[in-house]
Amino acid sequence: MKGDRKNIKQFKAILKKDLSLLFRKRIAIFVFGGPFILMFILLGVPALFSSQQALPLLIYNDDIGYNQTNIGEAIVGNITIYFSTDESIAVETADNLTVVQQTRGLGLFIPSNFSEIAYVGFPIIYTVDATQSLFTSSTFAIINSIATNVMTTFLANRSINDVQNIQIPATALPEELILGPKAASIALPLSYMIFLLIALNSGSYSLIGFAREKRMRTMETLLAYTFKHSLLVISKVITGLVASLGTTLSYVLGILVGTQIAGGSSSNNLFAIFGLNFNTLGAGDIIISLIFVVIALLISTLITMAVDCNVSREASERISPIISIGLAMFFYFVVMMNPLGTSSVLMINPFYWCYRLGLLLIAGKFNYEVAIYLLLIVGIITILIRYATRGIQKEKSLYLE
Amino acid sequence: MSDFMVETHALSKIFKKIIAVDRIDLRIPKGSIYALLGPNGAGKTTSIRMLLGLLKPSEGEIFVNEINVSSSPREIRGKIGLLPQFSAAYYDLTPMKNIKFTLELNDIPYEEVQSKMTEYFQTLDITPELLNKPFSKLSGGEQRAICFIMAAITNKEFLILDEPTTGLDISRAKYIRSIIKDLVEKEGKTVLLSSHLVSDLEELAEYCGILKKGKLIFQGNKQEIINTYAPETSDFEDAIVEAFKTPIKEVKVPFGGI
Repeated sequence: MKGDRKNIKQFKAILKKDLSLLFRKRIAIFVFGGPFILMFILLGVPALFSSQQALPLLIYNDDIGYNQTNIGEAIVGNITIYFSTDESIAVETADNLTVVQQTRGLGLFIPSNFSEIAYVGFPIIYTVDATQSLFTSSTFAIINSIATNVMTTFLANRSINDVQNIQIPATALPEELILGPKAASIALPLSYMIFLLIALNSGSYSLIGFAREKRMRTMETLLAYTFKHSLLVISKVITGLVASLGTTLSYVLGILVGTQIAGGSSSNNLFAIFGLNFNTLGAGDIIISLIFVVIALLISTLITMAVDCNVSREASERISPIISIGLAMFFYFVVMMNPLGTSSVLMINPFYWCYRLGLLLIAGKFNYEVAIYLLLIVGIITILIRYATRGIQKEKSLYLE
Repeated sequence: MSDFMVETHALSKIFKKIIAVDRIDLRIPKGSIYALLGPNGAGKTTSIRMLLGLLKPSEGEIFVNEINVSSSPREIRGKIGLLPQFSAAYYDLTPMKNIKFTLELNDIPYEEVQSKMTEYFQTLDITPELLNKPFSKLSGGEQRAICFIMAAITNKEFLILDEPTTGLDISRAKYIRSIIKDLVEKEGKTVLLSSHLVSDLEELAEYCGILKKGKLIFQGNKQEIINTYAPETSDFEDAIVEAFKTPIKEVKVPFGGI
């Protein structure tokens, strides 16, 4: 009991020190300012020097549709009414699917008639107001609801800024039917967030890791005074997470400010960046998905730290990014191919465990699969903390390389 | 109750095929200043790290204040005050933040050591301005003095001071020696000192251990080292130089007089 109190006190002191080192001027500028400045420069600065171009809106207007109603014609009619004098939107029409496919690069594409025939066999990108839309299945009702949304909300209210991309496969996979529309609508944003944030934060570890302690020759006293060496690792991991979240926030703010200058923004942009939409998903679902993004970041930081502590610095500089970003990249591209399916090649990928567990919880499935992924995640975190702790206790941690 | 703060039995450390420390039997009496001497690469730092529980001995046993460090290195953590060979502090933090971190890490309330710290600051000419500058902006001597204070205020029974006065000006070096003496004489601490400066050794060391190529070639009090290595001149510095030159033999005086 007394020992625990001492450990907690030491942990507080170590964490306070690590955090205060993170918020030093030079590091804070790099970690918290860098992504903002970068995104601001990439998005905002070009906009200052270029004129605003009209947003092309492509309407596919030559299809009878499943209910024998050509919605496309109606949309064109609406657009003429609502946007005839608006220079920010340039309406294009397409008479057949080939033209649509050839001109998809134009900008927003509104599938005008939403007929089943038009989309069979094409996992196609629709740009719609997704206020009430769900990631679809082969059930045609959803297409109909998208049509309704486009007609009533998107065009009528001109909520151009609120549109988001959603991918609608032609036919529903069995996994989609099992996990349901909520999990399906979070699948791509969740995998994208995990991949993006791991890639975005891979560079900041060197600023907070033990290499810095070695450079300042503080490892020896730190190890001599600390009762439980795993506390040193945990403190660094928490600091790493704070740095990661700060970097992410800076990145998002950079995009928001950049797009604001570029002339297109709304409060929903914050979620549009990651493809999340509060209207489509409940706040609870988004919070669950963010928790699993943070857990994936935690695992990524621990992998980097475990490698860094156990191999020489030169080797670690080469191996760490390969392992962490490589795993994340592999996870992302495999998931992209089949977002809701289970993948045997990803079974040993910890980022996939986080992703899959997130989906299962969002889908409200509390089965043996949940227990297995939970155990795997807890297990890998424990193993990595132990491995990193063993690494800092090794003789090499005391010597400058 | 042992009279020794440190006792090692045939302590060895082998790095791959290099024998860094070779079966040494250190005996550091409680309440004394013991100087561990030796040319560069003799095994001093390795021995110190083994005493701290940071390196695992290849062979032998270590007892620090009756704790078996070799079998349970965790037990010794937080029980030895340490001034490492090089200034070990966070360069981006101010000296005051570094000191406060050391206090928090060792669970020592600031108020408890405030008066003692103020005394050290005054003695070692550490001004309030210096305390609030980044550590990296301090001169080498100022950094060393701060690191010494960080070790001294930990209030441990056993202190390991590696080159405590290196890089210090004459007056700061003198005051640090006086503080070390006070820590031992007034507070009953035990100090293991590693230094190349004869001024430190002459003034402070009650006992010496001389390491050469990993072997403890001599262990005894100051007079014994003079008698052994420089009986003609009776000069301590001559005795050390002679000891460093002498071919490796067995330990000459293994604390026979204690």
